[in-house]
Amino acid sequence: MKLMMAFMPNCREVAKTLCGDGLAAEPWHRRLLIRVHLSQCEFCARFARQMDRICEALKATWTEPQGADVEAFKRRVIERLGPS
Amino acid sequence: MLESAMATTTTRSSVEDLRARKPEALTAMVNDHLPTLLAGALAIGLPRADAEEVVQETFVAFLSSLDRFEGRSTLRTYLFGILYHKASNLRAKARREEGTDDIEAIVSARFDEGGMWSRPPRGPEAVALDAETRRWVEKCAEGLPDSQRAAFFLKEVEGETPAAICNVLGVSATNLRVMLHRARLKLRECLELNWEKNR
Repeated sequence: MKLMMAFMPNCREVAKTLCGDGLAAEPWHRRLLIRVHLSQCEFCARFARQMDRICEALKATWTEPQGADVEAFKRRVIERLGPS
Repeated sequence: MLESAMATTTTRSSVEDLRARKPEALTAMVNDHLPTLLAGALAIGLPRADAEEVVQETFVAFLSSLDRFEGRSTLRTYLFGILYHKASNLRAKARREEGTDDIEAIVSARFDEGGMWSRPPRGPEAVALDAETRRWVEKCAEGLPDSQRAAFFLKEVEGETPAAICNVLGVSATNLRVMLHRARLKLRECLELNWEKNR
């Protein structure tokens, strides 16, 4: 346990990973250490949840537009691109 | 391997059909890619009318320079590259380019010398993904530079690979990492301000 604590990333490093390439990009031993840190640090856990929510909210906001106006727009574009 | 070969064959035959302006090829291309391009243009921050104009101009530009498309990237990424450059020109991106913000300093000030939180993240414990939160996130995203918005859209929404995104935006892998890192930090900081204001 003492050895693990010696290698435990601090809050700044955890936040940097969460805002960077994410846990998936880290090697397994570092992923493990960050998960242990997140299970023990209330602030980093909150930070992680907020980051997840931000991504989910943007995914939900930036969806592909649909509906009659998009279909009409497609027809206009096809008409413009077609052989004149 | 077989799938890859088939995809290449399909792309080649489609390009030939597009060159001949075959109606079915044009229709397939527009149906397949217009919704994504329109979503991307809106995500970059263009108003709907401008977004439609840029999407239309993207298809026109692609067809008029078909010979330059070598199939090294997917058609979707290639089209997005054209769209991104057209959208950036329209928005005069130079006014809000990276390097002008001090987000790193703001975030750095939240940690003590030992790397522990000195000013912990505030805001709700469990953020509900309701309409109001989405509206705030969207509003905060408006404050990001075009390149960061485009990078975020391609990475998080379209699930593109870092290599493809670097190709579209014309940045190095390191630059892309910095852009995404700053975008996420800025969005969270902006949301925290909103949470505090509306508490």
